Amino acid sequence: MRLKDLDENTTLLILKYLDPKDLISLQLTCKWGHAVASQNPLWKTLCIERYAIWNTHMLPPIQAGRDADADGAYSPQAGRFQHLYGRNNGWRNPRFAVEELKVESAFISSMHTFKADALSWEGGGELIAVGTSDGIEVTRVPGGEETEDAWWARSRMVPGAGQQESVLQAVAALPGRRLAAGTDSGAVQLHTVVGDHVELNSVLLACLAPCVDVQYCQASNKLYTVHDATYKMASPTERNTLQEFDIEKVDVVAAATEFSEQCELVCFAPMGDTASDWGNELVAGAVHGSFCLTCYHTGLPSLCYHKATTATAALCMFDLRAGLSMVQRYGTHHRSLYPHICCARSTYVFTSHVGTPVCVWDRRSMSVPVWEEQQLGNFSHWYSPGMSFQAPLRAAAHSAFYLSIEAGGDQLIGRADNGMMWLWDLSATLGWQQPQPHGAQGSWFRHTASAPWHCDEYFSDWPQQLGAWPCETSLPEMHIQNGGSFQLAGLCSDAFDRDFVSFARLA
Amino acid sequence: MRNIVLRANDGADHVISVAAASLCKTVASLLQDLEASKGEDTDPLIVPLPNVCNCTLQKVLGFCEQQRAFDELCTASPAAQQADLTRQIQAWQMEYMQVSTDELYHLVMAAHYLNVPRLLDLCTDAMAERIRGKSPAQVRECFGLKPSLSPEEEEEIRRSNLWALN
Repeated sequence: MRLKDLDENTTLLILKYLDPKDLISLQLTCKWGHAVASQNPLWKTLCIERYAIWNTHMLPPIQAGRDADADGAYSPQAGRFQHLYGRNNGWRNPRFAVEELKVESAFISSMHTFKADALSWEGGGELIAVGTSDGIEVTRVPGGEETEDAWWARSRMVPGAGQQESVLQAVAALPGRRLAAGTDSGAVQLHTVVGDHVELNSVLLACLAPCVDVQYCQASNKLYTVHDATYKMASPTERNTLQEFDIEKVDVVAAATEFSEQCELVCFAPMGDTASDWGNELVAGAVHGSFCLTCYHTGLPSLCYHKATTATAALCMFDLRAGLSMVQRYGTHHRSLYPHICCARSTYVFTSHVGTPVCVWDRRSMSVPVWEEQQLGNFSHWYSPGMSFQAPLRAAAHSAFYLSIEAGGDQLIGRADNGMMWLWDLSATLGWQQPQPHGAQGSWFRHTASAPWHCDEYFSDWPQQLGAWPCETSLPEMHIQNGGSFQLAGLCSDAFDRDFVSFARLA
Repeated sequence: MRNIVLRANDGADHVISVAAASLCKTVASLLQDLEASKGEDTDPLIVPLPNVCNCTLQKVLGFCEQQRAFDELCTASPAAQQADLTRQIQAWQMEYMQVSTDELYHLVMAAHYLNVPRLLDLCTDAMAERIRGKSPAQVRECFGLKPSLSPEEEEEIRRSNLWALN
């Protein structure tokens, strides 16, 4: 008796225990080995494990897709899950195709995507600035349809000579081929692109607390930074600060702290569209200054939810026309706050808290959130035992998100500490683009009673599980934008702690 | 209680208990059908198994009896001893699977035919273990496969799977 004599079902039962390398080894033995080890069900299972999509019952049927070659002919590999697995491209439908940007430096600490035209950079297209251990590296991401292998051209601007001693925790692009970076020492660095090198020009040190976010406002030509002292367990007297820089004079022109002495600012976002119109106000997130050591050591002290119930997080409004003064402050009913928030349509503010992945606030009525996504069920349900990336150690790692919204304001992405991503279709959730039968706008409070996988409605107000990019960083940074050559860009790290940037197109 | 006699393809009979036989889904369903049509009966039930040789049947029955004993132990043992018992079961299963590749083929076939899910899982895992980590040449040698791929075909497979071979 030989292995070949076993029936197909039994052979599949044996091969399901093998990993991809063993399956390929079997394929290389003979024609029979090649046929049995290439079967789609085997590779489909491996793909599901690899891309961390277990709740396939909520998704449309997964297809391997038909991939056109460069000359338009369909590849003989098309439709095979083995091909999908090997190309590291995730799902064609409905998942995303992925390209990776790897750098020579020891680690990546921050990233920023921007459009060259919007900031008068030569060459047009989309660019990505990456803060690394050596400095800032800028890579052009050309627009338009490219072949998959050459999706983005590697026209890089690399850091110039000289050792970068600080960790660049945030990066922002400035007009005229300049860049700003906030460091862990509190300094704000200004860099200039000269040829294909990024040179450090000047350093401003106005605050000793680590700079955790840097954003540039084109309308006022000002740079805004937020400095968080809690990251270094700094002395209690040191306050978290929001600063306004004049980049032409290279000087701090305004600074603000939280109105309440016990609370500290941890993040901010412009109320308008970040690309062109910032609006007249900034919204900053603040949390109570206390936090427990357990939460501190997990990386994000602002996510500590072991505080007194009165120690609630707050949203603070700053008027940009009045020298960065706080004009309003609204308490929330959450103790924790994920240190990254975003805004849409000059009025909606999106925050994330432990236990409430998404909280939507309306600037016109801030007493209660207009909509909240409740905890995404029992999180362990979403992670299979055979998953290929780390399981969340605590609920906060699963249910509080790094939020990013695309320019149109219709798609909101949340990325958890371990890399898991969720997508909300806000046009359905908030109903702002969904005309009702009688002509009125949809209700903010609408939430279909049945989950999409129960009522055959895929695009609904329920969040969609996108899958995961492996992520080891405490701040799983990611950006979403519509149009162009990519829709998602996120900081990732592999099993060997090597950092890279992933680009993805949502299929 | 009814006795169950399993008859191997060479005519050898093996008497097993109902509890052990219930691990073989094929025999269990046969027994259920018979009781539904004839009611309680004390006559021994003879099940001819033309696809299973005596040697393999003995091995399968050994598994069923031992698993039944383990099941009883698991039910009776306090929670604190469960981990110890699991280790004991694993050690027994490891020893049970110390068979030649040819014997393993027959066990897989018998487990499939008699529908013994736990034995089938154990055997398929053991079979996979004999492929795991081996080069194509070693797999061929282990399972008696003859190379039938042309050098071009082999090269094509290698080329399209460089991600796994490097």
